[in-house]
Amino acid sequence: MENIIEKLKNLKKIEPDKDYSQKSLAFILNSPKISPNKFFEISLLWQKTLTGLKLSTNVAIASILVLVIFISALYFNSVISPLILPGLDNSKISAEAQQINQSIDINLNEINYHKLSQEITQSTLEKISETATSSEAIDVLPSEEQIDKLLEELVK
Amino acid sequence: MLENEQNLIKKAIGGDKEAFGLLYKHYQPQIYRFIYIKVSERAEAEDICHQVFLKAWQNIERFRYQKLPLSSWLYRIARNQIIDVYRTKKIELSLERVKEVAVDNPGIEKEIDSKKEIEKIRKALKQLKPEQQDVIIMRYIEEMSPKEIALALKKTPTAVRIIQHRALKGLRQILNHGKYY
Repeated sequence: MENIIEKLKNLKKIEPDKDYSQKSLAFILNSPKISPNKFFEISLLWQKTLTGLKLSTNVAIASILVLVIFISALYFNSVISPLILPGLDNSKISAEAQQINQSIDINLNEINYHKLSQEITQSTLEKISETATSSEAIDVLPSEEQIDKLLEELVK
Repeated sequence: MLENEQNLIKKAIGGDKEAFGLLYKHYQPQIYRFIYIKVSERAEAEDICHQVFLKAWQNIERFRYQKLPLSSWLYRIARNQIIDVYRTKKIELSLERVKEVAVDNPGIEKEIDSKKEIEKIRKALKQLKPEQQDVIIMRYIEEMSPKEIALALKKTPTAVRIIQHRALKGLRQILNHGKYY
């Protein structure tokens, strides 16, 4: 191994031509310098700042970001969540269902009432028709003469 | 690292040519060597090296935001420059061409004790992955610390050590068996 390293060190003897070096330097120093681009400088500085940040700082920034995302999620959930839409609100749905239930109950009561009154009316009519056929009923009814008399009194 | 380097860098950022000249003289040989070993052609290495320092001079104000040594920054520019050249020209260096290159550099060869040994090690190095080449050159030829290499390659020092270990293993295989398994 040491032999290889020694051999490699021999390559250090490679040197540039002195005349070339002098000419090259003279040419370089006489060439205009490029004025640094401000945008490039800012971006480079920013890049360096970012890469220079320590792990703890990165963790802190990441935690803040996670917190911001969490708070945003909560906010949006409370504002535009599908859970608070009237069609999907459980309490509103049960209230509405209760209201419908009540109206159905009222209707049923009405139906029962009508049914009962109909039955009473029917039974009454039946009783009347039964009594109308008897002779007592005919006596109770006014005669033709009595009716005429009453009409005349009314005309006067 | 060059003595009073920070002060020289500040002066160079302020436009001091002399300060940049001193930085150039200190770092140019090693950057040139790095490029030359990777491209294996003197003219090409000179062109790329020139471009590297031209970019460094023109953009040195941006260096103040880089939290890395100047050498690591220069190596980064050099690596990108080599990648750009390979991408645009689609240079494919064959081993035969590498041989030609060695002959093409009489100035260097004179100073080297064993031409064959140097040529052999360079050919072996060329068979490694580009990243492994970078680590070997920086670590054993330029004697940079793993931290400096890590900054230049945008890797961790541990990753650099792993690459270094694999590269050395590979280099040994190539030198002993002619192949990298």
